[in-house]
Amino acid sequence: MLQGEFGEPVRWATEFMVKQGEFFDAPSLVDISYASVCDDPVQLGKWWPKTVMSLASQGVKFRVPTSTNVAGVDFDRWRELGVEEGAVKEGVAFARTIAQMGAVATHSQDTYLLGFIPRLGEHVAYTESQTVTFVNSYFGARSNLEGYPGAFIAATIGKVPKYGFHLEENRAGNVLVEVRATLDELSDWDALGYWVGKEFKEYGCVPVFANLPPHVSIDPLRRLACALPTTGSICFFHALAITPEAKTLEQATAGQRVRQETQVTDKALREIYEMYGGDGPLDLVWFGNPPLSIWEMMDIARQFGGKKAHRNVEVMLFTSEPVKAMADRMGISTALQEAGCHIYCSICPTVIAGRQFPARLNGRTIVTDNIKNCHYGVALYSEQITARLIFRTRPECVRAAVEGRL
Amino acid sequence: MVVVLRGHKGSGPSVEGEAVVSADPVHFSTDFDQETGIGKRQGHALYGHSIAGKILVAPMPKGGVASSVSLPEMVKTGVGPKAVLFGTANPVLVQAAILAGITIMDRFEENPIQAIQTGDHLRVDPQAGLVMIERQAQ
Repeated sequence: MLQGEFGEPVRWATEFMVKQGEFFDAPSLVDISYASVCDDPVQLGKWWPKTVMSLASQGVKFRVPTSTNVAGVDFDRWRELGVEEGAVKEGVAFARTIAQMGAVATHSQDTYLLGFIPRLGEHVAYTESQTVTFVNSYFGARSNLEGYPGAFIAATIGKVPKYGFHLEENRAGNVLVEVRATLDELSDWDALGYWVGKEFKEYGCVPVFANLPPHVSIDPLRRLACALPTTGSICFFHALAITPEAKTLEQATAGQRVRQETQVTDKALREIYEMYGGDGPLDLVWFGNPPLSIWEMMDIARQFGGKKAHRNVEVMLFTSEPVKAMADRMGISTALQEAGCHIYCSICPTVIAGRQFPARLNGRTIVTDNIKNCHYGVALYSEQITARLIFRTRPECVRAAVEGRL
Repeated sequence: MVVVLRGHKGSGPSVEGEAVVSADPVHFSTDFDQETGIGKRQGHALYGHSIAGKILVAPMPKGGVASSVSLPEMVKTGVGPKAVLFGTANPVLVQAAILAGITIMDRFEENPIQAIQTGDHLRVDPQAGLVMIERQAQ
């Protein structure tokens, strides 16, 4: 592959993998089952989209099932968000090129809810920290946090260098987290992940959570996987008697002593709510980040229960197109719209394309039950804008939406 | 005065140039102006300092995957560093340096942000895993 017998793009891709492998002392390359790529030109700058277009024109295709990350535009409702037509055209054209190379237009971090389901021990190349954390932990699949070009190139040859979390010896848990907190609301899981991520920032740090409720469903674990890497570089956790590589503490730590032990109490979770505290009138409520699952959509509709959002409050829900389609069919979307909620797909509120949307957020108070929305707030927009982000539980967010104040 | 700093074998060509040392972890997309390569985050160790054409020394990268495209973009537009030396690098930054065509090294025998000072003249040989630090007598 390095001699160019399969063409220049394969030679270039393989050379990139070999150089990376040498840096990290990888013993070999390893075959991957899935990859994810970013097809949002806003997040990719100028050089990389140009490189992608050139590779596409040389006939390069993805060799493994490949999903797409969250996009910069809602492809149907961009006008409402004030995205300029030019940015939409550019986004659509680039996404189409990526689709023609073989990617599935999932436009979500939660590709495992949309058919991309790796098995225990399978190697994958993913780029979004919450997705990497979720598949490493929940499925026991093996991924490093890849850069955008890195995962794209891996998808074109179906291989990555075998280092980091691809190696058994780096998957042992090394920090023990005893959970003594009550986890009643989904946002409590955000607070738990955020607190641990602030304490332990290293990429090689693998926390083992002890004492989590054994019958926990997928949604709380999605929240934990999303919050953990937000403040540092953690991309993998074990949950004792829950995740597949942690049937026992012995298995989770590979029989080694952990570097550190810590406890998370109700007080620790309260600290996180207080970090993003506040009250008074509000302007917006954001639900979703990770994107809302169908169960969350049903729950939000149930919590509104026929009540309507206050006229001064804009309630925005962020999900994926397949989840929205199910909610439409179930009558959930109609119920939510009647409550005054606006449902958007394929986007994350912290990185929406165009200039109008961030301008609309300037000086506003935004309440959300997703800690990642609080952490980034409006900081990822290039405009000099400010907004106040408040972190509350979902029932408090719904009540605030209805009453117009906290 | 010349001091030799040994590290793990790195990637990229042998280069020499002036060091700019950051006590803080770096995030290429949000810590530096993308048009000029000058530090733009108030309170960051490199606020107001240019990394263009320099050898950047930092404890570690920070942040998510955005640096995977912003570092190559900065290098290709002429405002990026010519080499990056970290205490500990991560996959995103190693990939970014390889694609940018610049030199990267990490895992040194001594903490590089203590061994190297801003303004030192460095000769970096990544294949041998060596950095020669030349410092003008004070």
